[in-house]
Amino acid sequence: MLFHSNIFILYFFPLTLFLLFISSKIKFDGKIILILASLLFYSWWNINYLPLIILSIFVNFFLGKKIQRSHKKKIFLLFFSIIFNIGILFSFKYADFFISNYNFLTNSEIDKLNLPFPLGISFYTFQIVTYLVDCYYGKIALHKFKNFALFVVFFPQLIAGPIIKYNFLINQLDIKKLFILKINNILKGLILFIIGFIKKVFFADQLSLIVDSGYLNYQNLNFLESWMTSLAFTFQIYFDFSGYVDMALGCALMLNIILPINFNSPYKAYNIINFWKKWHITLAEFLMNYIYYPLLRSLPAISFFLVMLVTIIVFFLAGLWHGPSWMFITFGLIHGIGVVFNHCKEKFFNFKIYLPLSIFLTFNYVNLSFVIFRSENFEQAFAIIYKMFNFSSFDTSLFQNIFLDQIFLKNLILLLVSILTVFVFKNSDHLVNSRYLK
Amino acid sequence: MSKKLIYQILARNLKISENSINIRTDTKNTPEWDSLAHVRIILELEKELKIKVRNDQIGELNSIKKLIKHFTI
Repeated sequence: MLFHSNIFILYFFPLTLFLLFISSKIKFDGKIILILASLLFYSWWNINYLPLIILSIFVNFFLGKKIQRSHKKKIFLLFFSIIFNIGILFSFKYADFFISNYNFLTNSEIDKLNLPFPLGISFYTFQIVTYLVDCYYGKIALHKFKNFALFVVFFPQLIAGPIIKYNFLINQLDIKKLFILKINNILKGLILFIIGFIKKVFFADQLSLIVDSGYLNYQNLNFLESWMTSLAFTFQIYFDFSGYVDMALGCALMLNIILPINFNSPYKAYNIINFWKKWHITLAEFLMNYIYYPLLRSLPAISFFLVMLVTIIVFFLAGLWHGPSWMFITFGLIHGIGVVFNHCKEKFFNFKIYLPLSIFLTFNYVNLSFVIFRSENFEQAFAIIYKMFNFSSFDTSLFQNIFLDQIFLKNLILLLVSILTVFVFKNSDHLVNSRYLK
Repeated sequence: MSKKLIYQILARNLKISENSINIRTDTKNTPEWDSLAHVRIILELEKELKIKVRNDQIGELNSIKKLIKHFTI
């Protein structure tokens, strides 16, 4: 079920909200309603994925308890649990990618597994890993099955994040405060939801028409069209993902639960390090806390070169996390190189760049990286990038006939409105927390 | 003493003046405080103050307030 679908807006969410607030009146445990509603939400698209997530809940709850109680085998149990979870993720999401690469390199013909790709598996696997690590460090205070099940399946953030930690959610699940109708939260949550809905339906879905047609006919694009195609995708992915997260935050807020923001005006970033403090923030924090810092700590000595190497490894994994494709891996590596470049500039050539210019350069670097991200193969990506820098294909007749070509005019206006919205307006978090709504 | 040392180490690693650091300084409001600087700050504080930081705590110590709390108890 998607947040912007009729079934969610008209039936699922109002009914869930109603049942939760009724539950507080009749003293029925609202967490059970929330778990059942989340399982219905998850299985609406494809019920075949349900057994896997339920199995994952039971096994990991058991493993978490074992880890927390164990003394001698603690590290072994943690290692086993993480391998178990990453193994499931690998089997469903990455096995065929590795098999096809192995076949290509060794000329073998190993059959692919052709397993389905369970919805949200990357998100809930990462969340479970954070829980297991917290169990290892004895941070889990309220170790209850209902809490853990809700932590894994909580429907506002189950499919597309933000990635949260167990204690962050559970500390807010105080039954007395949780399912009481709070008008201020309903109002703010509704505004966030509407902002997210507009981003998704009126921006992302409309921009996708430019993107799909541009990438389909990439060989026939001219200079201007290739720029419009690449920019349209850069805005589409932002409006799509951040819109979805806004709707998630809005839904959770109406349930009196605050989720962390995941996007903080990322296209206003002034370098790639700054971009990753603003784009998919909870994923960046996960990679930092669970891969980057432990990897650095495992080194015998920390030199600048080794830190940069670890940075590249982390961004390689960040790219791979997006999906089993060399295009995503390359996208990650381009960002890794960007971060290394920023660190080198700071260390060896510490000069300041005029802020608007550094925002412009960063945005264009990100825009080029998204051409790689969206392309199906390198041939398509390089063809579009080549056209973006091939000034000889600049067609001035387009401007002469601008008011005759209705589709071109509509696309141009949509892009200009997108640029204005992203660069001029404040983001949804600022708007909702403005003084007018306090 | 430890508090002063924390301010000094922070200022040195972030390449900013000690006067510009206050109790509200954190990774969000200080652009210079990136992941590389953070690792260096933690390692230097561990070495100087002989107090260990676990792997899961590194990311959590993301403000001057939290650093002081961790390293002065």
